[in-house]
Amino acid sequence: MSAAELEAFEKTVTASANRLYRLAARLLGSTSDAEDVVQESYFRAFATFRDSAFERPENPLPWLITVVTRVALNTLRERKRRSARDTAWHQSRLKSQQAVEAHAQLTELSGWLDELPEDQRVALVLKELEGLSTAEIATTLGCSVGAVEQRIFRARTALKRRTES
Amino acid sequence: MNELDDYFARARKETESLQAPKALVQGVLEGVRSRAAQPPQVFGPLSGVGEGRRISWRWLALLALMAGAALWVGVGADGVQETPIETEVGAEGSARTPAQEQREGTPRSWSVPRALVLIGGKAAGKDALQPSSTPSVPDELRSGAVSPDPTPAAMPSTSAPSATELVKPRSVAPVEAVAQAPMTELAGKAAFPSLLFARAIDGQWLQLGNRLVLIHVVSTHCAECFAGVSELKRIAKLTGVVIVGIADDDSTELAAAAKQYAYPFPLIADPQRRLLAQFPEGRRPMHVVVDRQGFFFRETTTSSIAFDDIQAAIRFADTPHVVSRVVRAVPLEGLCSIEGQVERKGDSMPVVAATLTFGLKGPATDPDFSSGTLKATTDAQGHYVLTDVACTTFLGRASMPGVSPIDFEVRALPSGAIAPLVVVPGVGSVSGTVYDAHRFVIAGATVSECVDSPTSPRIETVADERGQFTLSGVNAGPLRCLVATIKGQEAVGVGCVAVQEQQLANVRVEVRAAKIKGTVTGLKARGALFVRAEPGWNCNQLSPTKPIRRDGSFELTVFPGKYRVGFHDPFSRSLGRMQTIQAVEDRTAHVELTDDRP
Repeated sequence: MSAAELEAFEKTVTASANRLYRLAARLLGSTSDAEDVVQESYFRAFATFRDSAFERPENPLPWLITVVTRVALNTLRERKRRSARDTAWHQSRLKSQQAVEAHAQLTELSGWLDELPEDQRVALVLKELEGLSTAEIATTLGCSVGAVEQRIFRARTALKRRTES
Repeated sequence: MNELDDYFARARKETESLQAPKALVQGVLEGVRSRAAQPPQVFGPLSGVGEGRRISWRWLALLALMAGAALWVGVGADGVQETPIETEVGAEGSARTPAQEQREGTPRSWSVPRALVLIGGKAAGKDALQPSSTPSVPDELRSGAVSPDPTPAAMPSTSAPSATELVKPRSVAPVEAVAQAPMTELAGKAAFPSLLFARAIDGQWLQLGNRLVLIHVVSTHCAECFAGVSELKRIAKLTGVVIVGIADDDSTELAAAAKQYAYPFPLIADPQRRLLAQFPEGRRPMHVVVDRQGFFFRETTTSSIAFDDIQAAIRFADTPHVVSRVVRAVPLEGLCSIEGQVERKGDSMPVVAATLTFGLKGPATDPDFSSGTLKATTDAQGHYVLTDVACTTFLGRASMPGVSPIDFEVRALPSGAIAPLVVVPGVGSVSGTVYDAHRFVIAGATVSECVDSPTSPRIETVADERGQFTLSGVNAGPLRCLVATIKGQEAVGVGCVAVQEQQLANVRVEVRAAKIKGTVTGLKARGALFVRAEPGWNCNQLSPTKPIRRDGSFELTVFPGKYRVGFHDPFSRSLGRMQTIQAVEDRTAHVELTDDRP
């Protein structure tokens, strides 16, 4: 890998870190898990750049969003097998009042979305919080537009039922 | 659906401020630079992205096949076709090349089985090729007084690690330093490295480093040793501990016994007692808990399996904040005792006159310890003793002036007690000024550190006529919040700052106010009811409680932020179903609650 390519990747990391971190935090409802997912995603992305004949996209952000989404999806599935999470540890790492509020919001969001199946949860977050179009979500998740619409509809119906109850 | 849309819009807005930590970005960049120097992987990406996903599964299947074949070849080459292998340490081959060692600095402590080396490739052999622990050795080995175990003659090859290679500085203080009379012989001693990287009688390599392990010392001549297998299975299922059996019998006899008693865990045969030499003799069965750092935590030598005893030992051995333990047996008929130590973090100086309060753990747990009658105080050495208590699990709280209370859990057992070492964090000071919403200073406000319950001890001070204050003894931490309350006013001020040990931090405490109004419908006239608002973070001073009026209405003044609001019945000590609401500065938020109690 040439020095220019390495430099280009580093610039991509610097430019996209906040966006991807936010995406991972919203998907997972946890800043700690988000850090792990973002790091893992960058390393996977870099390995793909370095080792394969993968054509470098001009704007790698959508592709990186796909990587983060899929790694986060795996983490969500693993989390179901894990027991309780250590939320106290998360709180100790918060650095500002704003971060405290963001963390409180994430915790609440996670509490809301935890009952949804992972695929519905991810589709809903990408649509409602990340503002992606249905077609973009379909590309990210590797499924059809109809499937995405169905997941979002089911997720919203489940949440609506919950608020009403 | 508008409610949902509103909620998502709010969630999007509030999480918009999230930024990737600098340490994360820095770590990624460093990782990328180091990976850039590595040669490309032969098998292509295992990224699970796009086309790579299908390719990766094919490669994984192929790798699995290769691994199986290589393992079969490797096991055959070691000559273990029919007779089970006895305890061995290390093996032939090295996972890293000299060039890799030079690049990565430190030499490998462990060699790996040839079978695993044959697989090659980072993805397939990643776990197997990484040393799974920070191996540690007993002090005798460091000083050279005792020859390393096993003896070089028993090693299958010359690539086995030497004693000096295995020596790593231990990161925790030895138990002996804090325990005057340890209950068990093994507590605090390092397990032989060869025990943590041994070979079972079925040829399986056991990598027990960096894992919580229960060593089950048995003998084929002891039928009751194998009687508690179902209990051990239950322990493994509940705690996730790795259970390994070890006996001084011949491997053939041991294999026969394992078959006869349907023993489900890996067994190590040690007929020459190289590994068993560090265990007390003549006690079978014996259960020894080894913590993740490779140190013996505790052993039980009862003939029958003391399920609770072992489980408690495992739980405490796996508690991350416990850096050491004090263990002492105080046999009492039907009663137990708890003994422990409180010390300061960093210099390990004992904390004198700390108050330890203990409450029963269970459904009736009192989170504020307000009804706790079991108390102890530390002496000049930081020790405390609590005798004649019920043999059950207690929640302990260590309180001392100027430091936030520290909670821990302790199980008092019939054979004695185990208490975690309570480590008191360092403290710093915070100075600042209290302002109102119009940036005018407020004199006479009481400033205190946020605490999580009304009964928690807290340090506080009063701002002077210029609104300035200095608060000493604030726990060090990345985010410490101070709350200013003003006599006769409901509005409170909040300021948060990072506090470092022995340093002075500056903070601006701003008083802000928001209103929450609402009504409770279906209110049942069963005594006085209150409404309580709990903030999204842990700060009791920001949780106002006010009585509900006769008509069911209520009004609260809170610091702006997100709150969970619910009605509170002081008789049943319970909160009703809570609702989340956003309180905005200088505005009134409305909430409707329902008394749905039976």
